[in-house]
Amino acid sequence: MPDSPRAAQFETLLAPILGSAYGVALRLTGNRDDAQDLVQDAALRAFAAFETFEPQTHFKAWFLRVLVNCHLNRARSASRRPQTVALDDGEDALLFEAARREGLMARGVDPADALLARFDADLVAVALSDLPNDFRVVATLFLLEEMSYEEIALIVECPVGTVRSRLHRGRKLLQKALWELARERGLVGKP
Amino acid sequence: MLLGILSCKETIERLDDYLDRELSPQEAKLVVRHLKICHQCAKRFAFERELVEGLRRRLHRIEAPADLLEKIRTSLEAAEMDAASHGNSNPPRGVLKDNQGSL
Ligand SMILES: [Zn+2]
Repeated sequence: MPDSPRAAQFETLLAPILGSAYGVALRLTGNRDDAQDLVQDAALRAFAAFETFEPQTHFKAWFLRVLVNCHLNRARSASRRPQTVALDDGEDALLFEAARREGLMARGVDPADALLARFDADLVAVALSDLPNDFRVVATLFLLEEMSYEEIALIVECPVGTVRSRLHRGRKLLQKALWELARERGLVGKP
Repeated sequence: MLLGILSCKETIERLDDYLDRELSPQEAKLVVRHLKICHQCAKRFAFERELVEGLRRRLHRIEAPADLLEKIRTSLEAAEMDAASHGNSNPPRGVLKDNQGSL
């Protein structure tokens, strides 16, 4: 156990949600080293601001808010690549139509399952981490943590309507990214 | 919308909100009513629902490294020690263990 009561209390709250926090960090950063780094950084910041945590509220949501903020700050200052690429939306129903073209709409087949079965194990993770940050954050919280729009809005600190539109658009972008990656890797359809 | 029946276009516009359980109960009822009579839309909805569930399964959780909590604990202790040595008005008690000062 840590020495100070404050640190002990913090750690008691952190330990049960560390798995979730790391999972989110992994999808946000795209690799294990950066994920570990991000969680550690977030823990330090959260600890420094621990007085602002209200004990009756949800520690996980509070911690994830700190973590997402850390991530966005890092991404902004690093801005290794301009995040304007691939922002032209995929068409509506991109994968649905793709599944149809691939002949996966036969009776007794689940077309979504059949399509996903063709994707590499890490393809989904790569496609997700290829999304521009704003979309990646909401999509990660939605897919991984199965949060509602309202819960996500509290974490990313923006209106529910913004979450909704980012998520709807993020879905299309994710479908597009999945399809393009799968094609690059020769896993699906000839053009 | 005519006589409480959504068109295909109106139904598809509600697809994401419906699947994410973000529609009001009344709106959701309208969507369900359409899906009961429209095979095409029902197929599309089923596809998108399965897709999200499949993506979730594929993003299954990866365990945090076993030593992550320990690493965090160490850095928190260092941070507290740092705060204490910089004359924080009320340094937490017991940060420095006996016989284990800042050598
Ligand atoms: Zn229809």
